[in-house]
Amino acid sequence: MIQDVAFDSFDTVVRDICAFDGDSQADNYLRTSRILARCLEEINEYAIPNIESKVFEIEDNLTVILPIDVQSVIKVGALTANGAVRIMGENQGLIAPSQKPLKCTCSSSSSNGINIASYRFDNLLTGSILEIRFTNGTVMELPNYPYAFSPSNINPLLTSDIKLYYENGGHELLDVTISGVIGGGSVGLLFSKSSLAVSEIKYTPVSAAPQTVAPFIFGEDIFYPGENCEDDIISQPINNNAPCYYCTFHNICIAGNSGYRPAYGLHPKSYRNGTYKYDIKRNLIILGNGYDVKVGNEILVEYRTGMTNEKYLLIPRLAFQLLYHRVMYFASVNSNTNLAMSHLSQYRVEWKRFKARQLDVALEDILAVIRRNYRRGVKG
Amino acid sequence: MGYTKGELVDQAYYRISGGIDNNEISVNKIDIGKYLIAAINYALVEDYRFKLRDNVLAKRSSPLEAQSNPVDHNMLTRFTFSPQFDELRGLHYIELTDKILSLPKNRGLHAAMPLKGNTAYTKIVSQQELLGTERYLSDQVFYWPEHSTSSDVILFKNMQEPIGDVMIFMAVDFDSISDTSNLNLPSGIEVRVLELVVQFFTSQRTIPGDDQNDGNDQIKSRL
Repeated sequence: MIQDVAFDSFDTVVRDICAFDGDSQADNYLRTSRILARCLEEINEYAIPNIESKVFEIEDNLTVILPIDVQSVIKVGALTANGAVRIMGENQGLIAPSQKPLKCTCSSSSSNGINIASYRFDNLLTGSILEIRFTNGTVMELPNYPYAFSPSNINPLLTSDIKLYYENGGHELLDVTISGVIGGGSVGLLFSKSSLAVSEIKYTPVSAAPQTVAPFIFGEDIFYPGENCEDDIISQPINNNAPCYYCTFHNICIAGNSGYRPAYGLHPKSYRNGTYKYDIKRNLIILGNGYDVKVGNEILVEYRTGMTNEKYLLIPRLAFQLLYHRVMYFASVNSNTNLAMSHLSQYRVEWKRFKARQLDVALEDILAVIRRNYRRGVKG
Repeated sequence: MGYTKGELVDQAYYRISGGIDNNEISVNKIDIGKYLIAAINYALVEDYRFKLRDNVLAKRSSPLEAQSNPVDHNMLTRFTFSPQFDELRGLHYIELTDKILSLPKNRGLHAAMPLKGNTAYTKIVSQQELLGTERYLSDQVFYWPEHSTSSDVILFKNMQEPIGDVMIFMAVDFDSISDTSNLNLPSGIEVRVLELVVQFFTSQRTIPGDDQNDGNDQIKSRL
């Protein structure tokens, strides 16, 4: 196994490769070093990956900023009380809150759109009471907010309460509590976040004492397209009040009959604790809906790391042949193609051997057997 | 025992004058001494190229025969210096007392290593070669020569305290050798040097007068 092998220093490997090629004085030390460094990065990615796990805090915009040495993300999950990891599902459809969809051409952004916060409560019991307390000075921007859905039985109660305040002409909620007896299942609420702040949410299950539940925030800074959304891709006139069609997916508002709501059911049901997407360009993780996804929560990320300075210092001795042929391939590919191809061929052989030492059976060997048997099979 | 610089000048002079201490030839020893430097340096570079070719041929028959650096070790002279620190450039340096023989890829400068210890520094052609290698070569000590009109300097990158004495092995430019110093030349080079000098100065030599009027213009003994 790889743990049993000894290591050589970077300097030793460079001088050995030079000497193998007849350059005993290491006149080509620097060129060899540059090629070797790139080859090490290659086998670090595919043959002997460096894997690290670290705990990160979820940022305000439901993202996780990763360290610069992250090459690819393997696993994302929440740490449970007993130390297990509750993994999240990967969802390539997620888009960061401040990031517009590629095809969207509307001119609005989260800064000139309406800034929305949404909350979700799961596993509620029928007949329970949900109280939401707003802070002083909360202003409702649109009569459609807050908007509750799924189940809708809480909705009339909330909207009627809100309407009362509107009708009073205040447009201001003074330390008001909205409460109602809810149906079972899940409840989602959508608020205009810029002008409204929830100070406390209380959930009182049937025949149990009231308990304070932490606001479960998902989809903060939801992008809501403002006016002047002109989309020339779909070539159809768009109503000023209608959302951009390309913005109607997860984390972004979707048009409903009585207001806007997030595309609520897109995340895979098997990962109800949350989903993620690794944004390689910005080196961060974008998180989607789930009960583990809350601002300030800690999540564990397992990832492949790139080659940091100290990782160049020690090179597995068993990898020497592999590295030698790879370096010589790059060194000769532009000047002596035959020699380069010979080294490439040897490199592939060494690659199989190296992988076999790690995995007992190299994947390439298994595939070779399958291909060989396939060729030998009766045709027609 | 090889030639000293003065002996080689004398040899060349007698060959040019036909083996006679002849005052009539218009070649001075001081001129031969000056050209001798160029001839020696040329012969060394020529010898270097022959060995380079031999290396290529040797590599075909037996790869282990080949040496990457075809500088003959007889050309190399050892010096010991204490590196100084150049605060302006943030680098350690050595100011050489002799000029380095100019060979391709700075091969006139053969090696630099600490006086004590089992390590060797790594030679590069110039400082700009190091750009972008910091993440994996931050611990290696590199050195390279820089030439000026007055002297040659060797600069060191990544040299860490404590700084001890450094040995330098290099082929010396023969311009800086005194007349009485032995010439540290690979065997066979002296003959080539004499050929070059005689060939050069023969065309400068004045046609001797036919003072005996016998139709023979060769230099004749005055005896």
